[in-house]
Amino acid sequence: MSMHGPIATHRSATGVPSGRLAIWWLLASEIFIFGGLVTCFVLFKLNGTPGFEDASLTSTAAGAINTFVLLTSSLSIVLAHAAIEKGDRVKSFRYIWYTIGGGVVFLGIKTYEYTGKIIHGHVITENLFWSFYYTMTGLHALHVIGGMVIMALISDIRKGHNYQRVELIGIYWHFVDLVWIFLFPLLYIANF
Amino acid sequence: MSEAYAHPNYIKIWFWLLGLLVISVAGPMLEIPALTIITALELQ
Repeated sequence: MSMHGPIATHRSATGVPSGRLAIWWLLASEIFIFGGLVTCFVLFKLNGTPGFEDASLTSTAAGAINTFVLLTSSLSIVLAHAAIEKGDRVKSFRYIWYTIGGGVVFLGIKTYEYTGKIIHGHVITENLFWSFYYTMTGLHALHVIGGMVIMALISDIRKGHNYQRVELIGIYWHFVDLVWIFLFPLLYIANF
Repeated sequence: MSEAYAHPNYIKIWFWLLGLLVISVAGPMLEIPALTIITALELQ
């Protein structure tokens, strides 16, 4: 692995590379954000809050396709990591951009879903279900966009810089995938 | 990085996850209780 790049990513007072420690610290805080939302959603649903029957209006097919896209993009970022571990910068670069492509497809389907729902009057203020739906999926989509931007920025590994960043964005991307794995059954399958 | 990160089963894991995805969607859609229980996320 290249030891070029900011010293903070290699310094390891804790025995864990600082970059890796930082990304896990970030994800720990993210767990509280999404965990709080998911917990509130489940509690409202279990209490029979009016409006939650609207879960049957979400498109299971669109959600399933998006799950497939995210799972596949997680595979491609793992393959990018595997490639950079072997020093294959070009292959890793290619897999990173496949992952970004997966993010683009995911957001395209999400936009299609949002458009359909809004046209039919299902806006964020309609009831509590749609408030949760737009808040959780919107926040998740922002994380997808953030991951895509970071992946585009770190794709300069092709020039031989900061190889460790591929692992770090991989950890982040798996988290984004994992969050969706919770959102998909809650919003698209339960109450089918 | 080291060999500790070498893992030959990425694609196999991906297939397993896709299988679970199909089960999780098929259970409620086909109204097969066993599959629904397996997915374990039916909150009704």
